[in-house]
Amino acid sequence: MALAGALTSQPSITEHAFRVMGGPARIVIEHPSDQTSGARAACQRAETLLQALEARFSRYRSDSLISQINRLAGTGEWTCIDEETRALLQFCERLWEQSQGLFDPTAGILRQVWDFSQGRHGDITKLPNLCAKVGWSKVLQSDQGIALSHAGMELDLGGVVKEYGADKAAQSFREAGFNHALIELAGDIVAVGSKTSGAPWLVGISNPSAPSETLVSLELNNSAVATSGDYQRYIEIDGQRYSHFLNPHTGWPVNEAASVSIISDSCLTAGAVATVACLHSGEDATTWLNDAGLPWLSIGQTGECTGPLAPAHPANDIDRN
Amino acid sequence: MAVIERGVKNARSASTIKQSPLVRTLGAAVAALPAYQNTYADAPPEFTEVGLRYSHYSEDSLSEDKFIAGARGRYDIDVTQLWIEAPIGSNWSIAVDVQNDSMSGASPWFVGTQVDGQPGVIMSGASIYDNRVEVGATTRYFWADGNAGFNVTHSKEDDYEALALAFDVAWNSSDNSRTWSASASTSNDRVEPVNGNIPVFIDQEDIDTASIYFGVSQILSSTAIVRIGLGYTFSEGYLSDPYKLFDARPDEHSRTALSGGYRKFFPEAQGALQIDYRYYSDDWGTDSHTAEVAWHQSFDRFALTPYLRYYSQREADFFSVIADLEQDFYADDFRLSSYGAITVGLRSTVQIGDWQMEGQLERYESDNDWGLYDGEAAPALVNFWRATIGISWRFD
Repeated sequence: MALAGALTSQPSITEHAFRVMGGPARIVIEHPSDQTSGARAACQRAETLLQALEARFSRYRSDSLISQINRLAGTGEWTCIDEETRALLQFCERLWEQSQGLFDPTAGILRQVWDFSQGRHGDITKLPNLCAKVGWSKVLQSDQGIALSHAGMELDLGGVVKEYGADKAAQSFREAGFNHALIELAGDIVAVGSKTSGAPWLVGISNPSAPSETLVSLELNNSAVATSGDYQRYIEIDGQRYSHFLNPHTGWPVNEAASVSIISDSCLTAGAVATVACLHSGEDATTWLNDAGLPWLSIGQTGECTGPLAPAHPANDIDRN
Repeated sequence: MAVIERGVKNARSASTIKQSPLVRTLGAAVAALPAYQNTYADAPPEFTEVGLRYSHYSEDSLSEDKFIAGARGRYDIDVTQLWIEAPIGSNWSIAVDVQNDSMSGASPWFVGTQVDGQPGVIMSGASIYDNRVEVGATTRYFWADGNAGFNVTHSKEDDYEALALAFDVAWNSSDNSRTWSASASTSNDRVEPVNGNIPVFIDQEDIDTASIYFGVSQILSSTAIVRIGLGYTFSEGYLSDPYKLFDARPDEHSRTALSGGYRKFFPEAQGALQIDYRYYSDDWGTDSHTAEVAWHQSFDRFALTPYLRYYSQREADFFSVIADLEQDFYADDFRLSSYGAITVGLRSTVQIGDWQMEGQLERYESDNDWGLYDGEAAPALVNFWRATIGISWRFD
């Protein structure tokens, strides 16, 4: 989990906290003191924008676009989609391709067996039938829109919409002329510019098993950090701890429970790379992260940190006195 | 606290990180989303790029039934180009381009009458050899909503020297869906023909040229873009061809060109359709149409672009197949005649890590009968092959 660091600079600061997409959200804007009302209005617009994204893409809302697509699964009927949704689906497709199918927005139905909120599982023998309904290649797209080819299939864009929302909120501040802001959505953070002093924003990556303890602090300037991994949600089977990340090929959770944080210029890219890293296991995760070439931090089950952003990483002993 | 300090000291900024192929692929999909279409606007290149390209241009020999005398073999040109483009700080870039053209072959000298009464070409004797070196430098400044560039180019060959200055600017609308662009350029060319196989009748002449262009492109959707542009060019000075026996052209030349293009990306096919059109008109009585259609197909790190171009022009007022020396202005240059031309080509690129290889092959054929306009057939109309290979490397 990443937390926004303390702010001690000179100009006026407007903060706005609210809940959206099932989690806490926080906005901090540094601005000249005569722009407070404008900053408040910009925060309100960002909140409205995020709520609109939630209304459109939440699988928990029966009136959402996603629910409509899911209701029509297997009927042969198309759901008309707008350009933004189409572009978001294209991003999912690229990530599905690049991850060899590990990231799959149709894997959500596997949760019918795995209940991470309660830490228990249902009838595991159902997994083969559920896996048969999983697969991005079963998602049909045409000029008419989108359709799910098999009854019972479900589309879930939860893996990308929060990060996209953070980027979109950040962009709304830039367009409104606020170039010193921090947007945090349930641990994913986007920095718009630097602080007004020119100093970077400081954010902390906390210890997943002791959230009040900050393991690493990061400097953000016009960049984003996204973290995947949630130590509160897991299942233990035969003494083995499984994360809530589900392998769409096997239907089983991945047993390499790890929190992965990534820095990139967009929160969407950072979140995508972090999510796929959590779906890999062992060396494959490290290979994926190194191939991505973005700064990363992985925190293992026992709190050990690895990656270029890790406090003990050899690369961090060289530069900057 | 020690842990925090250490982490802060070593945190890295994403903006300094080189993009991997994976992140570049995701970045292309990210850039199509509306939330990023401002942030991905104008910025200097992230990398330094060095490239080398070689191109061979070869004109078909003049066919026997259109040939009277001289050498039938026409031009072959070897073009070697070396370029480097690099970012300078966060707002500037600089590019330097060096090109060498080695030319050999014969060219049409004038058109006469064959024994059967048909027009035929008298070529410029044995092979001409010439070498041209061009050096250009461009510096460009980027800001949030646009960029502006300044270019200086100098070229020199045995009988020709040119210096050109150009300025261009592009700026984006607040929602980044529209880009306006404008450019202005000026050049001074000096012609000093050399006496070789054929006589020339001038020692030294100048040509001054000025051009302006204004264009706008509009994003229609996340997968489609359209553009339109209008350009005007004016030249004055010695505009005749000193290596043609009968060539007397006006000493002023005004040209106007209207161009448009449409690009449509088809995500399912990982391909893009490209359609371009250009209308050209000048005060020598020539006008022309150029239409091109291309399909750009991506296959992961490999891309193929087949293309087809059609061109048709109306002859200049003072053109005749055999120059009419009774007129104030006259020319028998096939490039001023009525004709149509078709170009078929295939371009491909392969990306391997930080290296990109390219290859291109095209065939151009022209014929008086293929044109949209009436006019006598010039016997010297040209057909040619052009092949290009290149390699470029990007690094921090």
